[in-house]
Amino acid sequence: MDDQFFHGEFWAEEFAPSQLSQLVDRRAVELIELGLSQELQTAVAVMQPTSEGDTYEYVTGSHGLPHRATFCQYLRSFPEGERACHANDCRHYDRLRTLVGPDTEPYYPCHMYLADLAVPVRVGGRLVAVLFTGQRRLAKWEEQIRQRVAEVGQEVPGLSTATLKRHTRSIRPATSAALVELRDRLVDAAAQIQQFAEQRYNLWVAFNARERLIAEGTHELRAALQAALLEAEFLELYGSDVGLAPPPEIAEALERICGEIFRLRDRTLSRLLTARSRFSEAIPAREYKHQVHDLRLLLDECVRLYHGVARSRGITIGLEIRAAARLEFEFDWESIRLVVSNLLDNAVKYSYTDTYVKVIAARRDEWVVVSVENMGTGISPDELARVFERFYRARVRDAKRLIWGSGLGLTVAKEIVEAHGGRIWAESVPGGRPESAAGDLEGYKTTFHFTLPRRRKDEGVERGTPEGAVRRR
Amino acid sequence: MRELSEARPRVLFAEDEAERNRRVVDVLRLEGFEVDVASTVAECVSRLRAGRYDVVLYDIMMPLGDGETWEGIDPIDAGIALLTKWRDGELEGLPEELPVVVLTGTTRHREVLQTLGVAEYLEKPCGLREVVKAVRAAAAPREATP
Repeated sequence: MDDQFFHGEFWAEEFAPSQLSQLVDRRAVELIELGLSQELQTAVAVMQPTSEGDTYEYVTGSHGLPHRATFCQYLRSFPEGERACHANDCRHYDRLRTLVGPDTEPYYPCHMYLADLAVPVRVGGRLVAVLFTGQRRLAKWEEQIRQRVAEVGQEVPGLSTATLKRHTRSIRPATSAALVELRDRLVDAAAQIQQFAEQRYNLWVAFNARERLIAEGTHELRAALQAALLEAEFLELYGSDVGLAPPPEIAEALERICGEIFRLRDRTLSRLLTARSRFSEAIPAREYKHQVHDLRLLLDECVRLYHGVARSRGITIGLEIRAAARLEFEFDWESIRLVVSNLLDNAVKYSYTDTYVKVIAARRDEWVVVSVENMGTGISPDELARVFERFYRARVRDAKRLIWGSGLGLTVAKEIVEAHGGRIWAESVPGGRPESAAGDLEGYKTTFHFTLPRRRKDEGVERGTPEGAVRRR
Repeated sequence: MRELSEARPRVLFAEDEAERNRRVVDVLRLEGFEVDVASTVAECVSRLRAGRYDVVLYDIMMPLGDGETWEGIDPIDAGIALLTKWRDGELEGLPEELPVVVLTGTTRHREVLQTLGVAEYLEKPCGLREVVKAVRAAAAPREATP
């Protein structure tokens, strides 16, 4: 099956390691992982190989694993060609376990260090992710973990009981029969993820091929037109200088030929080039159901949704509404929710630990401005406009860090906001790290803003521009 | 100030598909220019070192050629690298000032070229009149001096 998708060196040429992260849709992986872990009452983690090759980075998992945990040489112990194996056979097991004993990470034991099973996800022979599961060895720390879970529950009132229960249940020791079942399910889940990755790869390749084809075609077209134009113009303008003066009918024909080529250049060719840089056609048309909703409720829902993920990475999300009245106006709930989710997802993903993500909603005349602010790797000025391009993913200043994503989220967000008559843009300014954060990485405050017209059913779109609305403070 | 060459202004036409564009050479000669052709970046560099030119008519999409390698530069598409290295003084023996008329079949380098201060930027397909006009304008300081 792999051969249908990948053709030898084609793979190696097409992909830089950092582009591998474009392959798997993180949300899809999260759903698979969540379903699997709930059904089997066990924790599952997904790790991705980093560009260094023998270290792995945490992507998602049912335990809040430490962000950016690295996992050394784990897979080297995998017998060649075997899809699943007992990860505890790993020769590094003992050393690794000492690094993450229950004392260092009492609530969030790195279960991949202690996993019973690990299943590699391969696309085209390349390892794109590893699924880990099983906590048999955690059993001996069960009491400590229960205690810690209870403590955390008191510390953080917002923590849902269901989450706590899931964590508690998941440390139940597994029997060997259950382990076999786990392995099979894990292999299934790996296959599903592989399928997602392959689809995404196909899409990616198709877009690339199309872009390249047009670019090459345009270049060839230019060169051929140039050669034809030179020959025709030479005869027309300089023929008499070299004893090749064309008779009047031919001179006229040559003039027409040149005219045609100039027209083609000035009209069609320039349009073709503009069309090439547009990407909206790549995204399927969306249907919008404009109804009156309270934006405040939507933001509240989105923020709640991301609380858990953010907290596991040491990030706090806050919501601030700068409006006296309710933010009721007409918009499409589902698509705007997607916009806010995409922005929050990015904000959490690109934040440093021990920072905050702030969601601010404000009324500006006839517009509502929503801003999502985070402190993290930032976006360089030349990338600010490009982040909305399809498949574009910002370079991460800390090169060791790979961040999972499709590169489509902001493109989709832009499309939706603009379809509502609003505008979306980004700002990123040096902002320093909070004192509690370690390391000497420079921090950037990055804010994504979008505007929506406050339109009611019986009204048209108000006059004025979204930009104007923001500046008029 | 550029030093002045002999009576006829000299043009270096850097173009990897010189045969396809031979009419440019014909016309420039008819218009009173002396024309040399370089079909690779390496050839272009050695001609610029050896002879005196008044204008370079330059195609951006050019191979490095002569089995040379420049670190980090794609040998198949090295045209823009010559201009940046030239500007940054990384290539010895090249004239400090020389008008460059760019003639290109791609828009890829449009923004970079703006920062390089080229005398004229022409996109293919481009008529002979436009080429002659641009080359003449670039060579004008020399022609103005008797």
